[in-house]
Amino acid sequence: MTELHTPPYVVNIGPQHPSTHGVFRLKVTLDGERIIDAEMVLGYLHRSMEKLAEERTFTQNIPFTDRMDYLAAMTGNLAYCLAAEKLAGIEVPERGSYLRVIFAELQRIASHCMANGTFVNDCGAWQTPLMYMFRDREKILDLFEMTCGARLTTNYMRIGGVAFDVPDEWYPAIKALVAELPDRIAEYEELLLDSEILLARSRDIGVLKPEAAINASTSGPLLRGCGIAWDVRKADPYCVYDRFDFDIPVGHNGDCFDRFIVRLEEMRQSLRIVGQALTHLPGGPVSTPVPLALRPEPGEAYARIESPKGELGFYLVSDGGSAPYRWHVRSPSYINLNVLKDLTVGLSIADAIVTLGSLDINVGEIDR
Amino acid sequence: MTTVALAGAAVAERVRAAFPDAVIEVTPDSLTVPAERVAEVARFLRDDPDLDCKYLNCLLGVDWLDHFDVVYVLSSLAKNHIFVLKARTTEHATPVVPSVNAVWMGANLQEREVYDLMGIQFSDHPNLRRIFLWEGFPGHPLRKDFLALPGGYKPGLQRFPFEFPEGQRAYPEVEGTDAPSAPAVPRLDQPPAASESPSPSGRGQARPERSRRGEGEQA
Repeated sequence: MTELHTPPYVVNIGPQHPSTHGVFRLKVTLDGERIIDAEMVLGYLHRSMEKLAEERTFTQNIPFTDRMDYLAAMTGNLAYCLAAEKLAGIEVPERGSYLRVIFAELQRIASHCMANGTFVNDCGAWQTPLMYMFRDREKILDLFEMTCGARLTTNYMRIGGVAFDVPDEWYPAIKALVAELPDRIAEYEELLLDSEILLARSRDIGVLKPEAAINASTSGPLLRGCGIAWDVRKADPYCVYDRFDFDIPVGHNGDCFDRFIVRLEEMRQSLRIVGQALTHLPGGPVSTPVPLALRPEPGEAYARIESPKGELGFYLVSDGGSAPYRWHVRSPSYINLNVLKDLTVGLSIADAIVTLGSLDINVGEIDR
Repeated sequence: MTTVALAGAAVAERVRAAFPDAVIEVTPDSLTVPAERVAEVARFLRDDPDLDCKYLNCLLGVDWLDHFDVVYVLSSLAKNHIFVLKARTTEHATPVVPSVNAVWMGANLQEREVYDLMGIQFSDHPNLRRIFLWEGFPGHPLRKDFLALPGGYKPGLQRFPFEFPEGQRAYPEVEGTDAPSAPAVPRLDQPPAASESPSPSGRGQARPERSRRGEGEQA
């Protein structure tokens, strides 16, 4: 059978399109229905944070990290504060570290709810799973609001600890949530894992090979989805992660479905961590006093965490002044896009949208 | 189990064995090579079975006013160690660094970012174009002399403003008032013609009498 070819023509997906999850533009060249070239156009949300940060003190830069990955502000705060603490040699009190772990894991669940909900939405399971997952995300955001007054741009962590201790009404609320969420996750599995809509659209689509994944510096569920058990929380524990018992879920085929499964299972593992952290939550201060005009010694530091999207790192350079000399973000959403072209060439547009959804990009973090 | 930071001296010894004149600086956790040698050293670090730097964590440029450092944070997932390699350029105006895209595909987008925001050319990069800013944007914003303050002031916040007694400025001068002023106009890819009409807004232009920020308020 001979294949018919058409003259190549270009279709713009985005910048304003529901499947791009932000202002992201994918320019695909088609031959018939087949994608023969894909090029991304970025920068619609570029706010030049790395330049702005060079004119602000170390503490003033924390709100920028909320606005990078605005679906996971807590982990953005955490990565930056860890890097600044490493640079300045600051110790965090025990209770502060535990609260950081609890909020980072809650944020991971909230971010994965969003990622999985919109992913099945892209597959064609229109809105129903998304709304169920948003119900749980709302409860997590309520806990954030109770603690720091904000739901999205939390600005909760500080260099040296966290900004506030949790209020009394927080304890019954989080205990109820931790008791309730495993049933919810089981409900999602029941709803989705046998769903033809999800399976037919995501199995064997966008397959990533392990060697290619490592060579392209991918991280997070994208890397674990192709069978590599690499998680910074295990490999290079920060805060107090070495005290908790949890597993690293991995996929087998590296396709879109495996990334979805890995995220779903990670929500369950995060709950295990939150449960253990609540049991052993120590008393005492939540932060160390740090001078407002913090001036670290001249030097460089790279600190990284496992954010919901992957390895989020900060490379800070200090020249001894109040503001960082260089403030660089290793943003997982951006670097995971390295493989997008290879994954989408050869697919149809509908499959490319599913593949893009499975990468779980956040344009605020890509463009910074 | 935690990630081990490889000692710069130990890595330098191995690199020197392969490339005798490639190492120019060694610190406890990093190694600096001349920019033009970085691609071959990078390939060596990736393929050496003990160093095994198969994963490029992050790539960034640092502007040191007279030269640039391109910093590569490398790690091995199998051996769980991390290491910092730096490539130092010899000049500041049009620095060129060989691309490591053929060694780690993960460098592709990051090198485009460094090119866009810092103006470092990566030779042999397959698709070296701007990524966040548009083609034709004047200058490279992450350079320290981009939109420098008039009158030779250094960009950046050297001190916290409230720490200064009244009347003193938070922006110190570089070397006295007679020092040549830093370029106040962003570097253009094409130098403007001599008979160019003044820009409509006048923003960012070097003013003839070098009026300084903050003088109006003090008078």
